[in-house]
Amino acid sequence: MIKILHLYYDLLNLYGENANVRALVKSLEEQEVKVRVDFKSLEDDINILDYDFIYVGSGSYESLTLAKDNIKKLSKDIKKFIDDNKYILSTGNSIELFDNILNYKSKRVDFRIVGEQVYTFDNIDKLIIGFQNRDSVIYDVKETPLFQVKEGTGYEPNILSEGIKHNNFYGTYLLGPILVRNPYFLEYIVKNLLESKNIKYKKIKEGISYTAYEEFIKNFVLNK
Amino acid sequence: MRVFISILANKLITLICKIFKKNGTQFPGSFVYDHIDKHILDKIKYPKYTIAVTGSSGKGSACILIKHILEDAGYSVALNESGSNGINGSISMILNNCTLFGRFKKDVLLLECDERHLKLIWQKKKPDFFLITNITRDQPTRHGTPQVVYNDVTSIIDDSIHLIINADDPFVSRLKLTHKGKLTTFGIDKMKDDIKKPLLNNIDFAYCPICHKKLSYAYYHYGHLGSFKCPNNDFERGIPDFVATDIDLDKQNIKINNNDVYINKNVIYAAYATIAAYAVCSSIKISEEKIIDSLNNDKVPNSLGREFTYKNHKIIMLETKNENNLSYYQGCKYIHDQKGLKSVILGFERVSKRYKESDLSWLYDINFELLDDKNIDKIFIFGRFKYDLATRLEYANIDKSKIVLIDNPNELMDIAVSKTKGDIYTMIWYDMVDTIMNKVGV
Repeated sequence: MIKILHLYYDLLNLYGENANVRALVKSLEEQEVKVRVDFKSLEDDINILDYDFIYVGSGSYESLTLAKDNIKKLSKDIKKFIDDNKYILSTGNSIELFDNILNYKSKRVDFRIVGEQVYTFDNIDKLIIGFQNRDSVIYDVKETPLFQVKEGTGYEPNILSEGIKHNNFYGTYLLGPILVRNPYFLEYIVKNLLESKNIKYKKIKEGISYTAYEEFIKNFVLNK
Repeated sequence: MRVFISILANKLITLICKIFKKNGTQFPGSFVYDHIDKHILDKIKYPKYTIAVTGSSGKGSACILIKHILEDAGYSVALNESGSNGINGSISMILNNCTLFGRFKKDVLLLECDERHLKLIWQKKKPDFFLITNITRDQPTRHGTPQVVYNDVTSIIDDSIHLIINADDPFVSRLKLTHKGKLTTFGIDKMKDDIKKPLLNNIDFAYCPICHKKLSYAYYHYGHLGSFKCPNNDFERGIPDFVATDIDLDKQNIKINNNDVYINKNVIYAAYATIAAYAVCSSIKISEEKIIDSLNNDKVPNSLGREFTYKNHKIIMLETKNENNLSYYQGCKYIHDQKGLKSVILGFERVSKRYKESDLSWLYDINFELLDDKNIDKIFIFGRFKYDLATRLEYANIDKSKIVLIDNPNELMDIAVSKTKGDIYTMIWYDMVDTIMNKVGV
C-alpha cells in the first residue's frame, strides 16, 4: 500500500490542485497498487513518517503564513522524511514552507509573476508545461534546481533555474493540476515511487491526458 | 472647466460610436480617463442615492432586480447594464447621465463594479450603499487569489458607507468584525440540496479570521457559502438581517419574512440576487409591500441563458464563465437537476477574453462529477481545449462512451442533434455562442 498525505488540504488548495492527488491515486490504481490518502491540516495530529508521499499545494499569502507557522512543529520529521528519500511534491508558493529545512530562503515581493511556463527536466525527454501565479520568490538557493526554464520564469526573475530537487523532494512554483497536465512527469514520479517500494512499474496505454498534453504542446509551444 | 470638457467629450464620442454602430460603452470613458481627467468621478454632483455592487459573481443579476424595484417605486435609475463595469465603462455611463456641468440627472446611480477597479472608480467619493455579493476564486490569472480581491474591495470602504453583505460568505462576512458604519446582512436558509462537506477540498475560506480555528459548518450551499461558526465563538454567520427561507427552486419561490417571493430562475444564484436586492431596497427604505409587489407582480425576465428549438430539440444555453468554478458548478447542478434524457455541449476556444494566457487549473475546481448522471446521454466537447475537458471528465468518472469529441465547431449542432435524443444543454464560453447561434439561425 502507498500512503499519501495531502497536507494543508483545506488551506493550501488553490487552482485545482486537488487534482494532483487524484492523478497520483488514479495512476497508482492503474498499477493495481492499493492507495490510502489522508487529508490533514492545522488542527490534526500528523505522523509524517507514516507516509510514502506528501503533497502540498499553494495558497494566499495569509493561508501560507498560517501553514508556515504550523509546519515548524513538523520540521524535524519532514527533514528525516526527505533524508530517507521519501517523496514530497510541493507546488506553487508552498515551496516556501520548506525554506527552513532545505537550503534556500524565501520572501514576498511587490509584484506578481504570472504566466505560462515551459521547462525541461533532466530525467525525462518531454517538456514540462504549467502556470505560475505568485508574489514571492525563493533566493540564495544552494540546492539542485528541479527544472530548467525554456519559456517563462525561474524561481526568481531572470534566473533560468526553477524549483528544487533534493533527494525525492520535488518543489516547483508551477501550480494547478501539474500531474494531470504532464502525464510523462506523473509516470516518472509514480515509477520511481513504486520502485522505491520494490514494486515494478507497468507501462500503461497512453490515454486522453497524453493527447491533451501533446495538443497543448502543438498549439501553445510549437505553433504559438 | 475640466468637468465640462470631460462630459462633452464623453457625450460626443458616445454619439460618434452610435453613428458608426460601435460599442460605445467603454471607449468614451477611456478617452476621458487617459487624456483629460483621471479623477473625473470625484467631481460629479451625485444624486441622493449611489449604490455600488461588486462580487465574484451575481452582481449583474442583483443590479437588474434592484433597478427594477427602485423604478417601480418611482425612482429614476442609471445602471451600467452593458456589463462594462470597469473604470472606463463607469466613466462612460456616469458622464452620459450628467448635465454638461456635472450634475447627475437620475435619482439613483446604481453601478455594477469590477472588483479590481473599485479603487479607481471610488477614489474620494464613496458610494452610499455598497453591496458585496460574494468573494470566491475567479479569473486566477488576473486576480491572483481571492485574498487579493478582498484587499481591493475593502480598500474603498470607510465608515460612511452602508455595507450590505452576504452573511453566508465568510470571506465577505468578516467585514462584520471591522466595519463601524451601517451594515446589513442577507443570506439563504438551509436548502434541501445543501452538502455537509465540500467534495473537492477547494473552498476559499476555512479558518476563523480571529483565532484561526477551523470554522464548523452546519451546511454548505456551495463553495464556502453556508452556515459557519467558529468553535471559540469569535466569528459566525449568525442570523442575517434578511433571510430567504423555504427555498423551492422548482417552483421558483422563496419566502422572505414569511411572504412568498418569486425568483426569476430556478437556480440558487437567482435566490441570492433576489434576497440581495431585497436587502438593498429595504435599506433605502422602500417598503416591504412595494418590494414584494415589484418582484411578484411585475416579474423580471431572466436574461441569463437562452432557450430555442433546433431540429426538434430544445436547446438551453446556460451562461457559464470560464475561470469561475462556481459559475460552472451552478451550470452543472442545473443540468443535473433537470429531469428526462439530456445531453450536454462543452467547449471554448480561448480561456479568457481579457488575456492570452491559457491556465486550465480552474477545470479541476468544477464539480463536473455532477454530470456523471444516468439521464445524460452524450457530452459533446469541442474547441482547442477539448482533450483537456475530456481528461477532466475522465477524472469525474464519466463513461467514455458518452463523450463525443467534435473537431469542426460548425458541425457541432448537427452532430449533436443527430446523435442524441432529448434536450441539449450548452455550457460554452462567449467565444462560441455566435457560432452556435448563427448555425441554428437564432
